Amino acid sequence: MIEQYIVLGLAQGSLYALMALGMVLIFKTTDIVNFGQSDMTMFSAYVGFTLVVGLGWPFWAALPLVIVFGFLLGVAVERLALRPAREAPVVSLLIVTLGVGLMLNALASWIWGFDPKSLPYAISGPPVVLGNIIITRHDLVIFGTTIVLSLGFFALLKFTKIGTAMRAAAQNKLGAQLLGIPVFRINMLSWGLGVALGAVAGVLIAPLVFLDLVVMVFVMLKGFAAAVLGGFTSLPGAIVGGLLVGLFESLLIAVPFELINQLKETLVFVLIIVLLAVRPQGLLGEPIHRRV
Amino acid sequence: MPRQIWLALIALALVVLPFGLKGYTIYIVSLAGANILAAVGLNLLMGYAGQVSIGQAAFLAIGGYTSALLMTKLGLAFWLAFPLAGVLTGLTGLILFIPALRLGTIYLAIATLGFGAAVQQLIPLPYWSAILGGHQGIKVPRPQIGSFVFDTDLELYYLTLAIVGVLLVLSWNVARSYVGRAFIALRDKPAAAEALGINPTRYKAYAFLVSAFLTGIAGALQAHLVGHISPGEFGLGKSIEIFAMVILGGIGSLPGSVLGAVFLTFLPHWLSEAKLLYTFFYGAALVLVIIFMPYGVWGFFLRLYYRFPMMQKLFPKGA
Amino acid sequence: MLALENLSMRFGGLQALDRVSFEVREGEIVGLIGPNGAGKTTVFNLISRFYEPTGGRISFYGENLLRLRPYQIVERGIVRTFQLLGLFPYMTVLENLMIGEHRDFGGSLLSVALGLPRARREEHDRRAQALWLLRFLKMEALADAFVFALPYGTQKLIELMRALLARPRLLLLDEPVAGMNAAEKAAMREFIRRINHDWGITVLLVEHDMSFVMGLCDRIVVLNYGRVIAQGRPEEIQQNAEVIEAYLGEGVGSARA
Repeated sequence: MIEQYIVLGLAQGSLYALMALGMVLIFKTTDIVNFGQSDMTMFSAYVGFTLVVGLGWPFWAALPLVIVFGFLLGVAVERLALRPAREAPVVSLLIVTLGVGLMLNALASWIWGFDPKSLPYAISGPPVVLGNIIITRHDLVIFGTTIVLSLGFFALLKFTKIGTAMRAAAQNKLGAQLLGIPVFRINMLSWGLGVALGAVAGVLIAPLVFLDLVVMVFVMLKGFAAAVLGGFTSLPGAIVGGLLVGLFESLLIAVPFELINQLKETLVFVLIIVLLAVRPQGLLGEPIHRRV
Repeated sequence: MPRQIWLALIALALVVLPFGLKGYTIYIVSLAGANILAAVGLNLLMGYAGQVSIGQAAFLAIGGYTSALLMTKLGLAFWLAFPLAGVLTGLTGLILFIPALRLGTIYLAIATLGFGAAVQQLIPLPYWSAILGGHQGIKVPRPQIGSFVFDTDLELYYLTLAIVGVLLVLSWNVARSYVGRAFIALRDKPAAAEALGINPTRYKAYAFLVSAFLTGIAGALQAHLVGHISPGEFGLGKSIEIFAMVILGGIGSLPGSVLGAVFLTFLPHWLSEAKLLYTFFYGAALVLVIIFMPYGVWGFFLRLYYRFPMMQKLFPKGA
Repeated sequence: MLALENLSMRFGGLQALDRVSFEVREGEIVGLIGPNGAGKTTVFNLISRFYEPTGGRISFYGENLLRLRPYQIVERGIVRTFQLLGLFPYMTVLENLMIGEHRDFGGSLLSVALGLPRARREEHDRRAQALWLLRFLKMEALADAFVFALPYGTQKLIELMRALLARPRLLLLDEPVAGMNAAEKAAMREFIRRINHDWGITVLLVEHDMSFVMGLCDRIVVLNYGRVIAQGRPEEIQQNAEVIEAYLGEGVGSARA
């Protein structure tokens, strides 16, 4: 029985992992925490909704388009809102991401209205049964997509010229610029990828919950918590963190105690805080050194 | 014109302000007053001591509920319950101080976020809804000194003016004192600050204490102004609103926080006509203010000051 | 007054300090020199308690410093400056100086907030004291200037002044004349001599400029690769073959000061 919860937890966790990965990527390259990630994800998911439900596209065709949309959205946000504001201190830029999020939220309510929408699963059909574990086909899509995207992403960072440039810009902005790396373009790229990852998570989670204007906030918060858990400066940590958060949440549901269920969100945070107390830099983050 | 004259003029303007305004507008101004205190509280924490917090709404809630309950359940008089609520909230601020000692900025932000979420979720639980009123919340009695009850918008306004005025003076005193300097030192170069004898533990504790106290008072004030308190008001959105007030006003600038608080209190009301697009313009306002005034409204004002000699004649140095 | 006994410091695989022992006696000016990476700033960081040594003792007038946290060192009378400037850039000169006087502020948080007479008087007196020092060095015009706008040499001097306001018995100066021109160095040397001679403050300094060190210090301690390779008066050090080799490599005559 517990294996079932583990599988479910890993599936959810994969989505948190993607969300976290996107946010950590943006943070590593641009030092900004994207508080608008939930709204950008939501907007992308709504676009997916229009494609699948409105235009009748099959899920597998809509998904890449949603990714592209998310990418373009991220690039647009960086270029139009963040670059003009780059003089401001970093905390102010958090507010900019928030403002953009609110704008997207308003646009979404104007375009699609307030009532919740439902999306069909990625693949319909009977679930796969392994022993006493039931895995829905949608979950399989989730696992598959996460694995492909994570591996592809890490391959990009490690083996391509662009990836190396991104890593350089993340570690030492000035040094990278002096080497001729176009940091502005790298920023746009990072934002594009970061939001695209969120978009994937959003459109994959949408069939599992009702898609409305606020549901993505909880996903973002858990993605956030996952990123912290893994160490906000660590990309693999984001994935590990996401999976752990998903697992923990799922196991909490298994607990037959109503109160625990209600306080799910809080307990996830408590877990994070306790962990940070023991290990302030997160699981895989760089230790915080004091420089004198 | 020397500083004293400016202050006197502002004080006078504030005293006569309500006489041109509708009751509802006066009410909004009073709410702005409460937000000013919350913004100043956060500014002392962030702008001076360099500690991030996006969970301030929790302290608003604690302050509000405490003041209400001290009056209704323990029968304390307003003039006792109100400051006591602030003090008690200040002490709970020390809860956040413990993670602050060990965590870097991002992680502390998350911890405060979690704290805010936790408080908001704990309040409406059925175990204590007899006292705390669950999701509906509870009624909050009007402020009362002796037999005089502050009931009308005008009376509440002057009470708010007095409370906010006094606390602003106190905050200003702290900011300009050796404590304020110690905060800034710890923020900018913690090693150098420690080498000069500044005890980081003690001053971080002070920062959280003072900040939580001010925010608690703000929450209590708001509760008494509205007459009602419920957990729904204290979500992440509220914490971020206060955060935005500090940022827009200019971190580290107390006058800026005043302006930021007033602006963000009124903005929703100016936009309330536009209904659907209200959120859109609110978000756009945030983005545009930061693009054009990266150091906040106060920073913008300072730039004007240094650029136009005329301004320097009007506001001589030392102001 | 200050005694380092067998002080060792290891960072992972690197032995930064290896059983370093030397003393600083009251009233002296001692120079700590050595090639880059020899461990000089590490010694300072250990005395200031930013690091925990892997071995050895540090005592000050007999008291074991290793029990203390960094912010407690000032109370004992040990004040340091920083290699990369420990001034607070977005504060004025006067505000920076007044932070130096931090240990002399005793008013409680409440009395400060309420503006009670005691707190106000303290603020007033400390301010007057800081202004006095500025006037003493004919720099009172700079009082309200923001530190980041000042020339480097001036900033270094202000950092030293701030350290003085903390009433040190022992002053630790980390590269006090780095990046200065000849005139500024001469002025700084004079200033340090006066502090030591007129005000009786003991000085331990780290520096790279040989002529500065030789011309100022009563005694010199030479570090190389984390070990003390020589101690003594400037003349002795200049003749010491091991020192010369450490700095210049083999086959050179006496070090030119």
